[in-house]
Amino acid sequence: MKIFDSDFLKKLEAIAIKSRMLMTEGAGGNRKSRSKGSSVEFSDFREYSDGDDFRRIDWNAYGRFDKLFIKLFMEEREAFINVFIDCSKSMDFGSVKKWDTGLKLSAIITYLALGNMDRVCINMMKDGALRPSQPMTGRASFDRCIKFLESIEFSGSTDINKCIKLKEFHSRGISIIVSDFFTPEGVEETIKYLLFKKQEIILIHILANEEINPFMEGQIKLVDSETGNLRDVAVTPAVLKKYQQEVEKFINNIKEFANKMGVTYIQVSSEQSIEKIIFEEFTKAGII
Amino acid sequence: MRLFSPWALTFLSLIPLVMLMYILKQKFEERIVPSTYLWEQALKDIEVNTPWQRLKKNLLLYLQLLIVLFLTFALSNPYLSLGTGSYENIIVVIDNSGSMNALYKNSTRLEAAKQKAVNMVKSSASGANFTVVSSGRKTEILINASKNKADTINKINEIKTSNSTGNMDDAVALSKALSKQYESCKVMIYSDNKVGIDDIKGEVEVIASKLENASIDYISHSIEEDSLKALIRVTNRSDVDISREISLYGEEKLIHIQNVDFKPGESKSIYFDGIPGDVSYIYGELTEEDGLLEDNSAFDIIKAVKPKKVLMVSNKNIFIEKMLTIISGLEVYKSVENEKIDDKYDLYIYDGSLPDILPKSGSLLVINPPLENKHFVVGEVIQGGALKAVTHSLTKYIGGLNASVSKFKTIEMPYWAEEVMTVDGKTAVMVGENKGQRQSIIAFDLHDSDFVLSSEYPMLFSSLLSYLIGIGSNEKTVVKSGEQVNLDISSDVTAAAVMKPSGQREEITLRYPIGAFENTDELGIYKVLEKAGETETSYLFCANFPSETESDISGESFIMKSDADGASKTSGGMNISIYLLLLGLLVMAFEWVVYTGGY
Repeated sequence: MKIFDSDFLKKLEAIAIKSRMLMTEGAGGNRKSRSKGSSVEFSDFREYSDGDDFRRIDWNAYGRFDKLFIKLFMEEREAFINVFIDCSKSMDFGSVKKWDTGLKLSAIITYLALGNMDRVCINMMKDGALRPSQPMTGRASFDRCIKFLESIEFSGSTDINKCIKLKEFHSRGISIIVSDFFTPEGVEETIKYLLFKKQEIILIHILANEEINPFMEGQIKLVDSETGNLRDVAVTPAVLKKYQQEVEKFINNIKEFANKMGVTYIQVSSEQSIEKIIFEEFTKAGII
Repeated sequence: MRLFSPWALTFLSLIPLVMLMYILKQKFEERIVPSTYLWEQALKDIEVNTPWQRLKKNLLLYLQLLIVLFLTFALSNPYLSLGTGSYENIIVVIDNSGSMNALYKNSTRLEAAKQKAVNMVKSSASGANFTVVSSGRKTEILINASKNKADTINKINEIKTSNSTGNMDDAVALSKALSKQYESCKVMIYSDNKVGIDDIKGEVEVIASKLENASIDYISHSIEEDSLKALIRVTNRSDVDISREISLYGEEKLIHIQNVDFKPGESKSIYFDGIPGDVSYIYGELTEEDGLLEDNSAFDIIKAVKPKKVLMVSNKNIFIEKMLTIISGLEVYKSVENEKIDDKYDLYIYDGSLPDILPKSGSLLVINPPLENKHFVVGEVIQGGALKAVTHSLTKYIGGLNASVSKFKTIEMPYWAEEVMTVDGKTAVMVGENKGQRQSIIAFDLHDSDFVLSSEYPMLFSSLLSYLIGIGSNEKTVVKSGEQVNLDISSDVTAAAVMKPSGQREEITLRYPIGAFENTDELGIYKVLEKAGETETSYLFCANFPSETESDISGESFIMKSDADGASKTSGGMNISIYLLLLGLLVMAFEWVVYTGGY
């Protein structure tokens, strides 16, 4: 599977340069984590609650307000980024395959992150199993990332909720899930779990144009690419309309839940160009 | 209710087809989707909202069946009779004149006309009475008021091509007469020419297409010593310039070819000479095939020009001698009374004398027979009077005769003879056929009458010779196809037949008078075979295409309708196909709403 050709790598370089300029930090290298940590740079105060490290109580403030406050400091450290890729058969769909867009976006994110001196781990989710790559740091390991991405095959089905729980999170970090989210159970459980694991979550929802606006008519036997389930449908304009409403509802449900939980949600079509996704959708969502 | 086009009911076979499609609907087109998850969601709602989903499928089926029914019945042209239940009468007239042989599409006009007529009969309302009339040289009723469609179709298919001139007026007049006896009647005419049907209800379907055509209108010959000269007249019947190769055949041998160019509508006479004189017939032919093949050849018969031998036994009768010199085709020999005659002659003329033994062969002309002879009963010489012609084929042109005879002999008329001329009511000239020998007797000396000085004399003499030896015979040997031919069969002939150009032999019934031969539809050379005792003789005649009337094939197809008053009043009712059609459309619209609405 050769998806990362020289054209893509050239494009990748251009994207990296441009996105670097967009970064507030400039080309300084280290990334500033939004999570609060124990460095020397002061960030904010917060009221003390049970379990907090009492060594960080600001006694001066206690003296002034008679209340316990905790001093928060900017934590300066490398971020741990986990990219979860849905490797089910349903991703192998569309005139421009969804996996193609998914893998390319994963590669770009990895490339940018490695350039930012972050640690990246790519995780394949398939058939209830999780296959993580070796953690990667530094641009030099990007080759390994490409190799890993290229080794992915899209088949079977995926239960995201089950797979994510197999991941061991040792610290705070960023979790990016690339999927079409066609799971009857929904992704609410996953989001809640990741938040519990103190993850910053980015959902990249990839859909093919054929899924959003299917072109079919007459007597159709629908075959589920993952489960092989069959469904006879007499596709009439009314049915199509209903389906489109259903798609909209499906996207909105995920989007609303993500917003509620402070999760970044990006919905892209597999037919959109990579540049457009990066510079429009990603910047809009504040990822870059 | 009657169906004018019951054939359309075959569309009802679509009903099982529609139902079959509903059964086969189980065969869905397979389509792989990433996940049926969303479809399930969408369909769940729809199915929950429409618990009569099954019924919905059936509703569409019923609607479609209704559409098929309505449209089929609309096509079958239903007619709702409100008044009398009288059946329609249909008179089919098919022109089968020569021009209907012209090419039309892949066939001929006649075949196309027959096909159209058959289709019309098939699609007519059952119960109609059909009358089929063919119009060629004669107008014939092939089947009259038959309810049987199969018989009618057979009769139409049996109509054969003819090469004769046709006259549609007779057919139209006949149809008109026939249609008058019916209350409701329609006349369907299939022709290649415009036909006037102003006062009858019906349709004229003109079947024609513009085609190139050239015709040989005429071929004739003249005899020049040992050879023949021929003239062929060719006309370009089309409106384009054409070039034609004209071949002249002597019997079946090609003799000359000429290439001639023609302007539109132009006629040209082409001469050929140096044709061997011994051929019995010649014909011209246009080599290139065109819209009408039948008029591309024409035939001409070369008559036998062997001179007839005539023996004149006379004592220098200048009146007879003079006549024999002016009639061509005669070889005259002279003899005197009692001279021994060895040779055989076609005609023996005895003037004032008779031998003891009459010649057995050849014809006999006896003028002023002697009182004593062994053959005729001759009476006294009596006082003559005005010479009168009796009505007879020989006296056709001498009716106004004004002559007299000074004296003549009364002759007892033999049983086989007929009176031709009289003097005072007594027979003066008689003719007849005695034992196969044609004889004529003139009962007076030509010198005793002023008849020989009148202009009627050569006419009578010529007629007599024609009767006796066939000189100057007017029997036609070239006719137009379809015309009748008078056969020149003598009474001594015991069997006769006509060999047609196709080789078919037709026996002639020898019942006198012999009627004319009528079956001259085939073009070409006919051979008349005669058998008299042991000897067989034959002669030819030919039939040519009537190009003056039938070769003009420059027409175009169209349909002419006539709706005469009176014809429609018995048919109290209305055609409801338009309403059915509207209903069908309405149901179709409703079906669309049901389908798109997803009810």
